[in-house]
This record gives sequence, C-alpha cells and structure tokens, in this order.
Amino acid sequence: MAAVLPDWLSPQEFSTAIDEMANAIGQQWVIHDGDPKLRSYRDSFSTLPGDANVPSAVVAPDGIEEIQAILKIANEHRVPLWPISTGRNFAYGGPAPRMPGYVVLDLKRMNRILEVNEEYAYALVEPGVSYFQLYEYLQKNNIKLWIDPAAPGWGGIVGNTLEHGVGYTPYGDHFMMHCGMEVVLPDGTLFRTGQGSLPETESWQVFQYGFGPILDGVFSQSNFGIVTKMGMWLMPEPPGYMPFLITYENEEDLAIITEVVRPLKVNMVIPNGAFTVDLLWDAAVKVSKRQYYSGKGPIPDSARKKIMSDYKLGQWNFYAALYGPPPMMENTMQVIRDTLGAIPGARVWTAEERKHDAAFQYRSKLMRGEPNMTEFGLMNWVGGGGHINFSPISPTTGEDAMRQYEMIKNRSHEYGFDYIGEFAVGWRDMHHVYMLMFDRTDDEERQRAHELFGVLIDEAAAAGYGEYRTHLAFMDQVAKTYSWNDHALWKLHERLKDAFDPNGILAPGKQGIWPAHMREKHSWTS
Amino acid sequence: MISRREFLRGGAVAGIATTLPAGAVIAASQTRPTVAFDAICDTRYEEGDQFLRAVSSQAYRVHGLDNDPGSVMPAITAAVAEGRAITGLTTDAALLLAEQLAFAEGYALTYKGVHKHLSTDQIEHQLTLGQRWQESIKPALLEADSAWPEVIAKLMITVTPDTEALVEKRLTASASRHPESPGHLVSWILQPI
Repeated sequence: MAAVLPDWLSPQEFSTAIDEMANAIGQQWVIHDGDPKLRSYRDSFSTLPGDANVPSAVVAPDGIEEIQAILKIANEHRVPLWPISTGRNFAYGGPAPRMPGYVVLDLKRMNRILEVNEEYAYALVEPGVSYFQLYEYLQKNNIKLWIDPAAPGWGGIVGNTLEHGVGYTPYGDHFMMHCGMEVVLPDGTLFRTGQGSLPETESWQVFQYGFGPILDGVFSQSNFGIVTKMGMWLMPEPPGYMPFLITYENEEDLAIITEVVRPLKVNMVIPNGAFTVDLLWDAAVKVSKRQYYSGKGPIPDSARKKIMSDYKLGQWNFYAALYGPPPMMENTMQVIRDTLGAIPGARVWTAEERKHDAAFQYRSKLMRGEPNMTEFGLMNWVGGGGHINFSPISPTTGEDAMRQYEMIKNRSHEYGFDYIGEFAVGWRDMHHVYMLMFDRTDDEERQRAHELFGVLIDEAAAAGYGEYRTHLAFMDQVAKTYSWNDHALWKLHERLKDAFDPNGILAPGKQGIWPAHMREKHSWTS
Repeated sequence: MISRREFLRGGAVAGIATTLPAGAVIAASQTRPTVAFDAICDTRYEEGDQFLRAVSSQAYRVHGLDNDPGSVMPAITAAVAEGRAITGLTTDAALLLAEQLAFAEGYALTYKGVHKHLSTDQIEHQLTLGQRWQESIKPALLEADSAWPEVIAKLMITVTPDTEALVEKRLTASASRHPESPGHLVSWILQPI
C-alpha cells in the first residue's frame, strides 16, 4: 500500500529522501513501503479511526552525527520528522505522529545509561532509556538510588520528562528533577544547557542553571529541537518506607480530603506525589465492569456499593507514603491519622493490611520507585482497549476538586461513559486525570468518546482549567484555550518555531505549534 | 510441591500432560500444528486454565499471567526472539501490550476472538478469521457452554489463518459464566509475516 504523504511532498521526493536517509544510517534502520513493522507506530488506543496518523516511514539513527545527517536531508526535501524516545506516550498518542505521512524519528537505539553518580544521586541518560532499564541497572549494580517511574514502566525517562509527566515518589515532578540537556536544533546545531556549556565542568548534573537565560523549558512539549541527553536527579534510598491508603465512604468527601491534604503537601508533611483515586480506577485494576454490570451506560450506584464492599475500597482512596528513619515516620503517621484519618468515615490501611490487594501493591511499588505495568489493567474495565486522558490542572482546594469532578462526571455520564479518575496532588496544584475508557472496536462508541473529549476541553477552559498535556487529536483545541491577550503566548511560540526551524521539518503541529508553511491551513492564531 | 499455576507462571516447556476432561467438545481436528507456537493465558480465571489445558501438550512453551498485564512482555519477547507464533486467551490489556511488542518485530495479528458475556448464561463470540474456519467452529461453539475456551484452543492449534482472507462474524451461544470470570476475554494469534 502506498504511503500517505504530506501534500507538499511528491512520492519521488519522498523516495529520494528515504534513500538518502538509508545511506546515512543503514538500510536496516529505515522502515517504509508498507513494512508491517510500521503498524507498531500507530496509536492503538485513541478516539481516532484505526489507521489514523500512520507514519510514511521510520528512521532510527544512533548518535548525534546520524541525527544531524537525517536533519540535513529532511531540510533539503522538507520531510516532516516526528521524534519519539520510546514511543510509549499512550493515552496521549503513543508513537504516532501528529499527522499521517510524517517520518517517525525513533531514538530507541540511543538507549545508553551514560553515567550514574551514587554520591550526587543522578543519572545521565539517552532518550531511548526506559524506566525498566534504569531500574534494572541500579538493581544489578547494587546502587542505592531510586528512580521515579511513570505508571507504565516501559515508558522513556527523557520522553516522559519532556512531556511534563509526574510520578509517585518525592521526586514526582519529573521536569523539576531534570538537570541538564543536550539538544540538536533542526539546523543540526548541537549545544548543552546549564553548566553543560562550560567545557571543563563537573557540575552539569548537579546545578540546573548556567549563565544567561534558562532554555531547558523551550525544548519540553515543543518542536524546537531534539533532546539527545538528559540528567535526572535520583532519590537516595531512604532508611525506611511506609506506604498507606485511606479510604473514604462518600463522593462529597473529596472536598474535605483536598482541604486537609493541601497544608500537608505545602508543608511537606506528605513528601511524595500523593493521589486521591476514584473507586473505579482502583477497582478496574482488579475487576471488569461486566463482573458487576452488563447493561449500557455508566455503572449504577448499587454496583459501585457492591464493589466497595467486595474490595474494601472507598468512593475515594488516598494513597501516599512516608520516608525516613522509622521513629520519624511513626510520628508523621500519627499526624496523618489525626488529620486525614479523622475525617468521618475514613479508614487508614497499612501495607500489611493490603498485602493481597493488587491496586495497593502496584502503587506501593511506584511510590518506592519500582516500575511495573499493573495500571495497564484498567484497559480491561470495558474491553476494547480505547483510552484517552483528560488532564486539567487546578489549585489544591476542595471547591476546585468538587467542581472539576462534578463537571467531568456529569458530562461523561451524559455521554454514557463511566467516570474513572484520580487527582495527583503536587505541592500546590492538582493534576486531575480522567481516563476516558471506551470500546475501540465499537465505532459509534469511539466517536462518542471523541465528541465528549472536545466538549470537556471547552467546558474546563470556560471554568478556568487548562490541560497540562493532551492527545495528538486535541492539541490545537487545547492550545487555543491558552488565549490570554489574543493568544500572545502561542504567537510567540510560532515566532520561535520560525527562528529555530525555518523549513518547518520538526514535529509540525505538536502542541498546536505549526510552522510557517503549514500555518495557513492549520493555525488558529492568525 | 509446585502448584500448576506457579509452574505455568514460570513458563513451562511443553509436554505437560493435558487435563482436558474426556468427552470435552473439540472443534477442530487433532492435527499437530504446522508451526511452533507459544501459548499465553490469564491463569487468574477458569477460562484461562481451560485454555491452557487444551493447548499445553502441543505448545512449545506456555505462560501464565497475573494481575500485572506486563507479565506478558517477557513471554512475547522470548517467543519473538526465536520467531515462534504466539496464541493467547487473555484480557485486552495483555493483548494490547503483546501487539505493541510483536508488531515492532514484524508480527501481525492473524486471528482474533472477542468473547463477551452478555449475561450470566449467554456469551457473544466475535471471531475474525477465515470463512472456512468460521464454518468449522460454529457448531462446536454453539454446544460448548462454559467449555468454549477449549473449543477456541483447539481451533487455534490447527488454524492456518495466514492463508485465508479474514472475515468478522458474531455468534451468540449459551454459556454459564464462571463466578470469577471477567466476562470479557480475547483470544488471538500473533504470527511473523
């Protein structure tokens, strides 16, 4: 089957470019011409039809020189490239490009752990390094450092950090914990951020800043350059670890939970990435919807009550952990019991009491930096594999939590879907992640999910809530909601795009940032 | 003594005795498979156990899965490295992970069955495979009741899906649902092409 190509690229030009890329990096590292391996670069979970956003080819360079060679060829032929690290950004698009016909620049061969420094507690890695890989390296070499994995451990450290992913240990804000980048610009220029630009430095991974503007953020969630190395701070293994769960009986308890959590987080009494998890998110790891309800539409309250009773879960389930010497943890735990545990109907559970609970076990692993894939079990709730995450931000207040919860739950029920969500509680903010699950084998249901997602974006924005990350299909719509002063920020992004990437070859359209030659057709800022 | 479930989770070499009950409904012939294959199932459920009992004597290697669907990943990696076909009766999550790993190595999904309980005594089988096999399996599935995983397993051992144009058909049959059943499982074959 002939590849779908961008409308400005002729089959002859594309073929020439691919041949040149193959010459530059080796034929075996180029996939094209309907090779069945291209199927692994689709997004198998999205609200788009099955073969949407299929790339025209994949190239997998190894090293800076090969990346520069690919960029040179892409610039000459105006071939759009879509860089991925491990391509596991599922629920947001996975390895698939923004538009069909782009060439995926797969950095999977650049998977070297370049340095781990136990004394200063950091690692320097290439973009193809997964959480599983770094964890296994630390274990094998008996290095007493913890990683902070994303929930699916097959994800890439660099990719997740650049997408502003969050985790579960005290190092849960991944971008905050990165330290130093090496970047290749679309014109092939190679540079390092922070102390890394000082030739004799020993401080690249211990101090985040350099001299002059801090540019690291410009290369996160953007299409301005390719990050080829990144430093990550790792958490020293603490002398003690105490995960816990507190279950709450009522939906409306979310307000008081959130009010009580805020001072505990701001004052760092709870040090880690804590989560207030809805009943169904926890249950779905262990059971399917059909075990409780075979009808259409959202699961009824009677079935929710039965699940709560069968699995000793709450309508809300708060997970967090304490770290340090045991006497310190015991003291702090008493504070937790006196605050979060004192909310009427609350029950505090220890690790020992939930040792046979799959949901507690996988979260307990994540909060101590042990990657796993258990959360993928949510895919079994309705079957059919479709899922896409809606992720608005808010301050940590009970009013905001309830407002978002009611808004999203009511809309999802109106469209016939269950509310499955969690609030990731940061220092001062909450990432509310609503996982919209649907049967992707049912076209009508898939399209209904797509429509719901679009409605949620606009409603959330009208209420003052913006998404921190979104699926490929909704990048323009979300970008459009960041509209203060006539979209001034996105207009600036476009000026940066034109300066860094005048031919518009790198990830056109990512985060709603289009290059000049595609702006007339796609952009909404002018 | 090692339990059978523990044995399966370790990835047992084929050759263990089948415990398929005498007189069980078997759809396809007992012809030996033409390609070496690994078999994977979710041993948390009775359906998974039934499936494994039916295929274990003919599979090159069998693997059991647990609460972490990621437990499918080492099994897929091992089979793909040696170019073997892979059959499974699993949850959707395990299949989605398996596909992602296998597609990257040039495998394709050459058969898929979706098995949804519509109620406690009725199941819908949505099968995507060659017409000839659809006709072959239909009567057996209609009579299988809760032994349908064994029927599917026997089909998968003998089917040659890559030589047929795939068609999708739905079939509703009586089937008692096991109390712990998830009510939604998928059967599948991943093959190098």
